[in-house]
Amino acid sequence: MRAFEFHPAHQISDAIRSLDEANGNARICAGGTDLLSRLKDDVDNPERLVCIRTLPDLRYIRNDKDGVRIGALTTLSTIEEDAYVQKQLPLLHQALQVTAAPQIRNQATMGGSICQRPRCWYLRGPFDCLRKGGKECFAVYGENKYHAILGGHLCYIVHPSDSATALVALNASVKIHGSKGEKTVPIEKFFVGPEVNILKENILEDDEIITEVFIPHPAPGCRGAFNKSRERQSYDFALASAAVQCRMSRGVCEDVRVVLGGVAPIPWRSREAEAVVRGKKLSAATIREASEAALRNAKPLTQNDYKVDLTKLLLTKSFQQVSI
Amino acid sequence: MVDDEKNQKPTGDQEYEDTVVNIEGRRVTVRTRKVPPLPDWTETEIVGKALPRVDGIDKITGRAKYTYDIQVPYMLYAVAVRSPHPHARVKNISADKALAAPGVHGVMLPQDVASYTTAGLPLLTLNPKYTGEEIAVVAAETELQAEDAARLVKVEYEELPFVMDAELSKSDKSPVKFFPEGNFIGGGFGRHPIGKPSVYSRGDVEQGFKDSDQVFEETFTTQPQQHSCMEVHGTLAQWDDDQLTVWESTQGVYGVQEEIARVFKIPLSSIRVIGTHMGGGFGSKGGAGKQTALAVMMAKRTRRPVKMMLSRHEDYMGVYRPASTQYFKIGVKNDGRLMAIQLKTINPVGAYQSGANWGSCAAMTTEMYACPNVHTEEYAVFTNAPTPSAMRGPGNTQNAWGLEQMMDLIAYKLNLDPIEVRNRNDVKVDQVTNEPYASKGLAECYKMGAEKFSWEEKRRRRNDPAGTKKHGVGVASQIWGGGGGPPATAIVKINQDGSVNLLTGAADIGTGTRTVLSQICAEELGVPVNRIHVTNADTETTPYTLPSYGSITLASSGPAVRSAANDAKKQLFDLAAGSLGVKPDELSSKDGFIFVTRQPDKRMKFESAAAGMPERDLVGRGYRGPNPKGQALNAFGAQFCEVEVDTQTGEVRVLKFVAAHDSGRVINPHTFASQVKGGITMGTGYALSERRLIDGNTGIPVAASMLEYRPPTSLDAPIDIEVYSVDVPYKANNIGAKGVGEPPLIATAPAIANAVFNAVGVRIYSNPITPEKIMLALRDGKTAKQTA
Amino acid sequence: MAKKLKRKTQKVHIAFTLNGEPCEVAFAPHKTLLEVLREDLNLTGTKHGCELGECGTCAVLVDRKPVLSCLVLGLTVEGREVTTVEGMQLADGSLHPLQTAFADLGAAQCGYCTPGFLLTAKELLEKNSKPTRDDIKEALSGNLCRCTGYIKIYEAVELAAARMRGEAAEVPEEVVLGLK
Repeated sequence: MRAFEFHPAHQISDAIRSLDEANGNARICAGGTDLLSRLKDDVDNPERLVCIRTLPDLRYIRNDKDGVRIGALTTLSTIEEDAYVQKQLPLLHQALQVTAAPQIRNQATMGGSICQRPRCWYLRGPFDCLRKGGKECFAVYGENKYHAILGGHLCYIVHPSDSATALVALNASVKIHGSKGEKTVPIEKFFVGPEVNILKENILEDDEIITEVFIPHPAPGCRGAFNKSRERQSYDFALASAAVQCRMSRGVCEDVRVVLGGVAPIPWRSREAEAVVRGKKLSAATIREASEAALRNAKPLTQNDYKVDLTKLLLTKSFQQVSI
Repeated sequence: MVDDEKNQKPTGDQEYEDTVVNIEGRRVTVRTRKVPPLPDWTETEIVGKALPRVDGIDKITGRAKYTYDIQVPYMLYAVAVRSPHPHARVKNISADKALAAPGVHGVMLPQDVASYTTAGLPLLTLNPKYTGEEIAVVAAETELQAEDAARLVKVEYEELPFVMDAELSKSDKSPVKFFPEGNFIGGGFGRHPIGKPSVYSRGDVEQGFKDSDQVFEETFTTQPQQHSCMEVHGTLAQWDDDQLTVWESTQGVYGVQEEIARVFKIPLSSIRVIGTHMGGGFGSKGGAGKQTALAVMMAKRTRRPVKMMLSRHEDYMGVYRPASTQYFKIGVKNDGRLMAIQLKTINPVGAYQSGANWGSCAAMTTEMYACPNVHTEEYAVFTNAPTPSAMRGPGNTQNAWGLEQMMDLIAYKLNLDPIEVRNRNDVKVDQVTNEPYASKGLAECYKMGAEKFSWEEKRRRRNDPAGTKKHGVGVASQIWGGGGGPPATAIVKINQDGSVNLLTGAADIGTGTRTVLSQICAEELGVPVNRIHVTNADTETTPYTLPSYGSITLASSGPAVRSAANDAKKQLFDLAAGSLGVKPDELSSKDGFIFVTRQPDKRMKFESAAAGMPERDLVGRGYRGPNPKGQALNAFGAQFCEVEVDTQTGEVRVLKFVAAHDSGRVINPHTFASQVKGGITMGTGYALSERRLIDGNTGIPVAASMLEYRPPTSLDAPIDIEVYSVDVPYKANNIGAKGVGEPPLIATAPAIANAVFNAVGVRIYSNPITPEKIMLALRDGKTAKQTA
Repeated sequence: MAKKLKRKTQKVHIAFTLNGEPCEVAFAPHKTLLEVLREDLNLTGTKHGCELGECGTCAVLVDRKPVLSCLVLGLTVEGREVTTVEGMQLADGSLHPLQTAFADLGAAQCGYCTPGFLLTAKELLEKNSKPTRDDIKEALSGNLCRCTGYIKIYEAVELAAARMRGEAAEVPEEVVLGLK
C-alpha cells in the first residue's frame, strides 16, 4: 500500500473541505473494507484519505413518522441485527445476511456499502480498462462469466452491492452533504450506468459524502423478498439476485418494485416486470410472464447466458415468497 | 532429496542394500542401511489412542512462531519486480531510482544472479515467459518501502507473442516455439526427449477392444488447483559471517538445505534451515523456492537479514496443480471386466521443462484396476504460464476425475452397481511391476464404506419427480503410495530424570507428525507421552529425513523413531538389568516402569533407571530400514458421498461423506480422521468451486485471490464426514502404518461428480461443477461436455 | 481551492487498549492494524493471510467485535479496545475454554488460521451461549481453513460452549476403526 495523507474529520464540514481541497485526489475512509483492498491491489492511488469514522452522530438507526433513517457510518451487522429492520424490512435483512462475510459486515458501513466499487477482475487487475480511463473493456471478449447481461454499454461491470439492490427496491433515498450544501436524492437516481458515466457508478462528486440513508415505512400490506445466487455460500458476490417489494391487497398486487442485482452496472429496476404484475393476482402465469419480461432485453456476453435463466428463477422465487 | 545422482553412490558395505521408495507416484531406488527387525506390536497402550496434539497449546495461544512471524534485528524486506507480460524481452532495466529511494539497501537484477538456477528455473530473467515471472528484487527496511521502491525499478519490455492454450501450443500453429524440437515433452519424472510423449504400454489394446462387448470413449478435463496454504511461501535468511540461518515455511528443511548448498556451493554444515511451525504446504513447499535463493543472496549482498514473503496475489501467480485433458477409451465385457484402456493426456505445464515433472496423470489408470491391455500416452505441453509443482496426490487426483467417472459410467451403462464393477476388477498384484501388494484393504473399504453409508438403501431411493431438490449418491476409489522409506533418521535422548527428547527432521505440516512420532516413541519406551519432548524440522538439531511429500512422513520417520526408541530402551535395560538382577532381554517397559516380563511386580520406575546412568544421558539412534523386496506398498480407499442438487439453480450441497481408508495401523484416530476430513474438504473445493484462471487474451491471471479462487468456506464444506480405517494388518515396516496425507483428496471430486449424475442424470466432464454447468446441462438436456 | 497534498510516511503515535492494558505505539501512517500488531508490538499471534479481507486469518476483536485487521488502518483504533489471541486467556491466566477445547480436539492442525477462528468464536459465545451447529457455521463462515475441513472446529466450539455453560462435557471420541 502506498503512503497517503491521513485526514481524520471531526465535523462534516471538515470532511467536505478536506475532500474539496484535494481536487479529486482524496478518498473517503469509513469502514475501509473496499477502500483498503483497492489500495493494496494498487488499482486506486489517492494522495489523501479523509477518515469520516471520527464524525460524531452518523451511527444510528432512527424511526420517525416517515420511515427509518440509517446513519451512513452504521455497520451492516448493526442494521442486520436491528429489530425494526428484521420485522418491517425483511428484504433488507435478507440481503444483509448474505452479504460478504460476518467480519466484513462488522466493519463495512451503510454508506460504504452502496459506494463500493465493482469486483470486475479487469477493473481490479492490471488492465487499462475503460472504467479506469483506458481504451477497451477486456470483458467483452474475455472472461465474462460474472459480467453484465443488462444495461451494459461499452463497459460490462455489475454493481456489487446487495444492500444497494435492496434499497432501490425499498424506494430509499440518500442524503448527501457537499460544498454546495445538502441534498436528498432517491437512491434510484444515485446510481448511474456507463452510458452516463463510464468512470463511476454513482453521482457522488469528489467533495460529497453520504450522511444518511432513508427508507420510507412500507405501506400496510407490503411484503418483500430477496434471493441471491452465488458460487460459495459465504464470501461471494451475487451471480444474480432479485429483490421484490410488493403491496398486496386481497391477493392483488397494488404496487411493486422489482430490482435485479449482479446482472447490470447498477441495481437494475425492472419496470417491465412491475408493469406485468401491477394490479394483478400473483398467479404462476403472471409471475412467469413478469420474469420473462424482466429479462426480455438481456444481452448476454459469451460466457454468461446462464444468468438469464438464473435471474428469472430468482425473480420467480422472490415473487412466490411475497405472494404467499 | 532423492535423485539419481545419489542413488549411484557405492558403499560396498554389507550393512547396506538397495530399496525402492515410492514418492509422489515415482519409484526411486535408494541404498540404505539394513536395520534389525523389531517384533510387531500386538497390544498397544499409546499407539492407536486419540491423544490430543502435543503442540496444541502452542497453536491456540499464538505462541507458535511461523516463518512469517520471525523478526530479527536489522531485518530487511525483499519484494520482487515481476513481468507484467506473459512473454517479453527486457530491453532495458534501471535500478537507479529504486536504489535512491528511502530505506532501500539493495536491488538485484538478472545479471547479478545469471549463474544460478533453482529447480531448473532462472532466479531472475531478462526473458520472462509468464506474467509474474521475477525480473528483479528490491530490499528495504520496511515492506512498504520495498514495495514503493520495486515500482521505481524501470524496465522496458519488448512484448513477444504468447500461447496460453495447450492444444494450440502443441499444434504447428503455435505462435511461440519453446524448443526447436517442439512445444511438448513426455509428462512425468525421468528423462524424456522433447517432442515425444511419454508412453506406457502392456498387452495389446487393439486386440483388447476387439475382445470387448462394449467400448466407451469420453473426454474429461480438470482445472488447475491452487494449494492456497494459509501461510504464503516465504523465507527469512540471515548470515553470521559464513554461517547461514534460513527460516523457511517448508515441508522439508533438509531439501531446502541441500538446494541452498547446491546453488551456492557452500558446505551443508554452514546452513541451518528451520521450519518447525509452518502454515500448510499440500505439496507446494517440497523444497527451496526461488524466493529462498533470492533472500539468501540479498542477505549476503546487503549484509542484513532478509525476509521475503510472497503476497497472496503472488502466491496465486505461483505454483499449482496443472490442468489436464484426458481422452479415455475403455473396452469392457458385459459382466464389467475391463479388457482394454487407452488414455491420452494433455497437461499444460508452463514455460519451463521442469514443469513437465508434474505434467503426468495416467499412473492411476495403469494400476487401479485389473486390465490386461493398457496404453497411455502423456503430453506435457509448454505454455506461457507459471511452473506447476506437486500438489496433494499429484497425477492421481487429476486422473481419478476421469477414471472414476468412467467406472461409474460403465456401471451405469451395464446396469451394475458401481461397487460391483470395481470389485470385479480388483487385483492383488501391482500390474505395472508385477509385485504383490504388501497389503490391500480396498475390498474391505468398499464393504465397510457401503455398510456405514447405507449405500444399497440410498441407491434404491427415488427422488420425487416433481421436486426441485434431487438427492444422489456416488462412490469413487483411490490408490496412492504412502509406504515411505529411507532415508530417515531419528534420535531419542533419555535424560537423567527420565524425561526424553525426540529429535526428528520431519516436518509437521499440520498433519500431526510431532504427535504421532511422540506416541510411537512413548509406546516403544513404555513411558507416557507427556514424558517426551519432540524437536523437529531444524537441520542443526535434528537428523536427516526426506521432505514431507508423497505421504511418506509417518511410514518413513515412524519406523526410525521406533528403532531409535528401541535402541535407547535397550541401553537403559542394560543398566536396569543389574538393579533388578535379571538379564536385559528379560525386561519390558510400560506405564513408566521397567519390569521383568515374566514377573511384572518385579519392577522399577523408568526415571530410577535413568538416574543410574553414569553418563547422565543416553542416546538412541534409529534408521529407517529398507522396504521389503518384491512387494508393492500402497494405500487404498473408497469414498461415498451424498449430494443434493437444486435443479433450478444448479447448486450442489454435499450432505455427507463416508470415507473408508486402508492405511494400515492408525497411530492416532484424531489426526487420522483430521487428515481425511481435510482432504475431502479440499476435494470438495476441487469438485465444486475452485478455479485458477488466466485471461486467455492477455495472459494475465484474473482469479488470483482467495475471493476469486474460492476455497470452500464453512458453509460449502460437506455437512458431515464419517471416517473409517479398515485396519488391515500391514507388515512392511515396524510400525505397521502407511501414509494418509494425500489419499483422502484423490477420490473426493469424482465421488461428488458421480453423485451429481446419480441425482440429476447429467454428467459434468469438467471441474469445477459450478451451478451454471448444471443449469446448462439440464436445460440443454444433454451432458455438459467440456464446458469450461 | 486545490491544495498541494503531501503523502506522509513519518510515524504517527496512538494510544489504545490492547488486551486489557493501555498501549501506546508509533508507526507509519499507512500501516494496517495487522502490521502494527505484528511488526511494532511484536504480537505475531495474529496472522497474515491474504491481506485483502478474504480469508479471516487476521481476525481480531475491536471493541469486542471480530474484524479483519488487514482492512483496518492502525490509526483508526485510537482510543478503542483491541483483543488478540495473546489476550484471550482469562484474568487468572488460565486458558479460555475455547482454547482448551481447540487443543483437546485437535481443531488446530497447521494452526495458522486458528487465532482468527478463536477470536471470532469468542464473540459468538458471548452473544449466544448455546449456538446451534448452523449458528457456528454462519459465524465462522468468514474464516477459511485449508487443513481441517472445519468439523473439528465446530466440535471444539460446541465443547467450549458446553463447558462455559457449566455442563460436564466430554471430548467426543473419535471412532475410526469401523471393523472393531
